[in-house]
Amino acid sequence: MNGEVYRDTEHKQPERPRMSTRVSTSMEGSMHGGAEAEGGHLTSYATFIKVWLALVALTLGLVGLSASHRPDLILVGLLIITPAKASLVMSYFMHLRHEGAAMKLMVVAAFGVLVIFLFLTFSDYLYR
Amino acid sequence: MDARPAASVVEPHPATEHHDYQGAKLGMWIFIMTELILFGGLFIAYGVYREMHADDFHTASSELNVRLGVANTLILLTSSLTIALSITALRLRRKGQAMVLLASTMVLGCAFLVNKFFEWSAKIHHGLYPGSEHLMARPPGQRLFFGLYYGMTGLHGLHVTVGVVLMAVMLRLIARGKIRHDNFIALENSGLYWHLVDVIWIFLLPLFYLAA
Repeated sequence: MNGEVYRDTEHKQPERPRMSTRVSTSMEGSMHGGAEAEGGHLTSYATFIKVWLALVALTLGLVGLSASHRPDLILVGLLIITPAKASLVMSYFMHLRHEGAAMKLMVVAAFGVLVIFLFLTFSDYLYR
Repeated sequence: MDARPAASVVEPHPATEHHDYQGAKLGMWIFIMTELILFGGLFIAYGVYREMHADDFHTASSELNVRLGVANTLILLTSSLTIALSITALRLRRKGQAMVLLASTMVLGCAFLVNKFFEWSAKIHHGLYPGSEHLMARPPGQRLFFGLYYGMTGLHGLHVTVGVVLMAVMLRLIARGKIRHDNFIALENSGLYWHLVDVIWIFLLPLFYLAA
């Protein structure tokens, strides 16, 4: 994963602006440990636009599946496409993929708690 | 903020001012997790009632306007893109571009609310609102569906409204130079909030509009 992050930074950034940001923050914000520590990963325009295209495509796919009126396909939309869209937004737009392990763990823990609530509630309602 | 008398006299230079970027972001994420649990509870309520009244939910859902729901999804997804681009633009010192992108996000947020207004108006016009005579005459499952529909999309709409106001404040702060390429955490946290609003809608679309 780290390799991928690095590649993204190296090749997809517009070259000149990135350098100017680096220089300015490392000069002005040197007391805080430099540009990356202070501002985090800078995602390029191109990456965001690609993610948006993927989200639009997945939405249209979801609508297509629901129009099929087949319960199995609708379930695929609900259990696979919808969480995939949410994780795209969280990974890229909310740049969770460039956050530290503690932040990721916190988000996973919060979702984990929600899944436990869901499981306990349904185990009660389905088998009472 | 506290015990710094000099700050009130001399405006600290942006570069020497104390910023806790990670701390501010962590705080925002903790808030986002509380929002997740808030909406999560409502999603669980939806799941249980749908399990108990599957047919009623199916019938009631078919009365929602799928086109409006999908249009609003595309609007919110695009607004998430524009605010994400706005943060990158600001960090690249393209202040004007950042402001145009942020203003576009606001316009899209307002467009979402206008759509919601027309959608709710049509439903209320047809006598479909919590406690209405027409709705109370229907089976309990349909009453629950519309109750959850108004409750959940209403709470979400409230978040959209707060987001639009938040962006107006951010726009002003950028214009006044308070949010800059080297001090953008307020804009970043506003972005995180806006994306959360988007994530919640991503789940609302299939559960309400596509459930038929």
